[in-house]
Amino acid sequence: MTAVIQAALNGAMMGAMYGLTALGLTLIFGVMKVVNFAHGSLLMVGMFSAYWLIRLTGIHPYLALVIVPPVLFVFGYYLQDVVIKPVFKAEGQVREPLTVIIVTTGVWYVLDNLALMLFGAEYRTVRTAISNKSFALGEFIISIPKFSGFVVAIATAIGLALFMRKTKTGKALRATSLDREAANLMGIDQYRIYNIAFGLGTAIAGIAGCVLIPFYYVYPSVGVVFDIRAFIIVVLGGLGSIPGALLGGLVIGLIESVFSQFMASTWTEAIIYAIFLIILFVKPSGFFGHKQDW
Amino acid sequence: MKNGSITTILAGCMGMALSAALFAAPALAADKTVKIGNVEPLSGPSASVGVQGKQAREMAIEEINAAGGIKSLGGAKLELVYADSKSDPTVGVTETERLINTEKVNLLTGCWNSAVTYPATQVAERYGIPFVVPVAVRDTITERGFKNVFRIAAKDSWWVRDQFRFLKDMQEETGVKLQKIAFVFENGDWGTGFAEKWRELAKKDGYEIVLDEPYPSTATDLTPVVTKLKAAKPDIVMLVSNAADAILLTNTMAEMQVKPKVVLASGGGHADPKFLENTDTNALGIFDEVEWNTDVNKPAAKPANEKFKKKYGYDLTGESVDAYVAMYVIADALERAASTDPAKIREALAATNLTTGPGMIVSYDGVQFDETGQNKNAGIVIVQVANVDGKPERVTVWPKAARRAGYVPAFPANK
Amino acid sequence: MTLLSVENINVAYGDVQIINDLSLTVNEGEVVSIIGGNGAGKSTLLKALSGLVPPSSGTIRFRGEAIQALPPEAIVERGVIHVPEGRRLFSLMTVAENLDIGAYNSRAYKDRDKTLRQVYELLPRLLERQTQLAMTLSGGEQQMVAIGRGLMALPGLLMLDEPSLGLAPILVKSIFETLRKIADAGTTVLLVEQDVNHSLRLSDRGYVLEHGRVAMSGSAKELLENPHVKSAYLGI
Repeated sequence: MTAVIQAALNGAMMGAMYGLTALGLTLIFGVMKVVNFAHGSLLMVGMFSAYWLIRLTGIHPYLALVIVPPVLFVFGYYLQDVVIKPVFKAEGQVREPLTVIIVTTGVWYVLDNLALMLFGAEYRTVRTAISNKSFALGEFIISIPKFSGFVVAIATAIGLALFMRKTKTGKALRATSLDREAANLMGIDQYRIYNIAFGLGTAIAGIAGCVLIPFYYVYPSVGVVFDIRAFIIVVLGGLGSIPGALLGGLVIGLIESVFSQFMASTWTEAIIYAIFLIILFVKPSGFFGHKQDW
Repeated sequence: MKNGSITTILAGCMGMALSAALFAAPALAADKTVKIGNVEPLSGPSASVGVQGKQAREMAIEEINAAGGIKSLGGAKLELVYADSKSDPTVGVTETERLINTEKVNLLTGCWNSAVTYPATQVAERYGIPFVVPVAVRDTITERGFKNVFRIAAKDSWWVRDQFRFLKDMQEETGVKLQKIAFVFENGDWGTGFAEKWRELAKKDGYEIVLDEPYPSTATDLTPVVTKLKAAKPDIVMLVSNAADAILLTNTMAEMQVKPKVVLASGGGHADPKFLENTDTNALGIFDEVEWNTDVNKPAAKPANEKFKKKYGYDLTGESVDAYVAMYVIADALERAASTDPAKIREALAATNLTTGPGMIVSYDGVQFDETGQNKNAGIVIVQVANVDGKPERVTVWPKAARRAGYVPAFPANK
Repeated sequence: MTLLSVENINVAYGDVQIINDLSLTVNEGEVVSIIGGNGAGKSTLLKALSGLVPPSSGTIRFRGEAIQALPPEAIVERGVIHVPEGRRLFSLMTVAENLDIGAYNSRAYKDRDKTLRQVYELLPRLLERQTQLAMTLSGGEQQMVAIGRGLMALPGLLMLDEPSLGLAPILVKSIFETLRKIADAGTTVLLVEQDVNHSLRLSDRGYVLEHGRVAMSGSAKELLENPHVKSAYLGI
């Protein structure tokens, strides 16, 4: 029983972090109606940024959280503005422009291969001030990097939700996600909103990167591994839903951790995919999604 | 007039010499290069090892070519052609075909991952191109009755056999009796192959198997596995891991305070220089089984390692050593074959009995292939990660004869 | 004073020409109706004016400035507000949030609290329903929100596309009463409608669109008496 509870604690922490990786993806889809296939690569960029920052300056990972996300926001903002926006403009009236999805796939390949050329294929980890530390909670052991990740993930989700609810730009993002043309008629500059959404999604990938680096390894195609989970989580939670992404992440994390106490971990992957398929059949819009997104 | 005739004669001589040279030149230009195709994982989870294998081969080829190449082929130089298998068997097979058909290589080597080597060698056998396997341990690679496959490293049943011999010897030496054993292994060809044999030998030696846990090498989180390990409370944990998961597993075990009495790994990821770099003190006490260690007492070993380290920044390991040796085995066979005909090369390889020379940096006595293509002399050593001069280092502990002088192994590593 | 001047515009969707060489004007303080059958190009005309579908040729001037090449958000800044066909509310946002976002443009943003009070005074039902999600409202209430949202933008010219579409007669009456009050308060209104009777009665002048051209124009009174208008659009 102890093992199961320990597994549940671990699963919840990892799950929240999985949710964090999915948050940016669901935001970009919700606002721009585009599946961003470059999302995993943005996560990789976030992880490498955190890696190099900590490796070269030795700063505390919590401090990296202050530096990396804003830098990634700018990166994402201009990536959207320069590379993807022209394709959007060409697609004009189309609600879910296919060519934009293809462009994001191109960005994925370019970023991953650029990283491969610059940094090589090897796996890298960096020892941070909190790596491998843990504290005891009764008879359970809680990993500090993972616990921090859990807290940051929840804080980010709450922060994002508040931003969307209370700020002028947040409301503009929500309006654009609901009806792009009507939002335009309110005076909302559609392309600027896309830039902001993409920048925000990338910044969140940066947060996820900082959170993962103290205990996980980075390499040029690390994005692919997390991306697959992120897609499942986004569909599970509902495209565009912030609480959905978090909840979906928790579900995946818990299944992965708790179920593997009773069976080989290779089976838990199969179970996750099975649940994904079931949800697609029973409620394709996911936990919190809305039919109009489809 | 006398001067004039001397000049003429001199000119004539020079003319003759020049034309002789010109006639000879085409013969020199017709000098062959022998092309060796190498299928290695240059990207993906085993990229680190693949790159090391490439570097070792290059170092060997440089040396061989600088020493005059293959003299029986008129000083022919060895040329390396690479193909990235990405650790994917399908890619490995297509790349092997490409090397044979498009690049027209005379020999092949590869592929580190057993799952890739198994089908790739089949392709070579079909085409009759000799394939030298430096390190890929799955037994069946040399058990199919093939004529063209030659393996330098020990097969995995020998690796497993030696792991259990080590456990037995150490328990006798220290008087400590260990009972519960756990298996944690990557769920590919390599790991499952080891696990099959572990189960047999564990039963034979009377151990109680408390955990039998395959896991995917690419897992993002190994805490569930470690949690299970903690609950099972084993005395001995046997591991088969690639580099990334080895690091994750060791660090997670440290984090979750899981400290079994003996942790015995099987090379591969644990032997990768990146492993110690990224686990540092968490790895202290781990036993690992490898082809080779830097403190092996062979005269050529130390200088070769120094040279490699200077060039590339890290020590030689099992794969790089075997890749290095493979090049010398190939050069030796080519010398004796005096031909690039695949059948003749194959015969020369089968007759190999290489015990001396700059290539012999291995811990055992020489390379000699039996009728299945397996190097009969191949052996392993067991090392322990210990604190030497304040830094974690791998120290040879078994066989006892190979143990580093003055070192007392910590067995068990944890109480 | 001429507020809006449309000069010989042509508008096409891809290869299909919708508006042909159209010209019209709207003066400050007027209520102008655009009437015509389905496919006459009325909605397209408003989209051209608000910048959603720019004209391929011709000029649109607002307060003397040429706006035909500006993006929609820039046109909104200048005070041309388009209340689109079918309400187009933000379904998962509340009534209050919908109204709030109406005041997004920088001109209207600073006074939005005051404007909101005025809108609630004009449309008290919205105050009652302010925390309800827009998609849970009835058709008539949604139209009120759409109009309110347009007012929040502090329009110089308020353009409405078929506000009475799909509403029961009693609701249609209340919509037009609301539009009357808006016009009386001094807002210039350009009204596209299928309900010709109500819209002409509300208006000062009107244009009849057929096949993307102005077929007829004049004072609302004249148009109401016109035999062609009576037979084609009033069913008399």
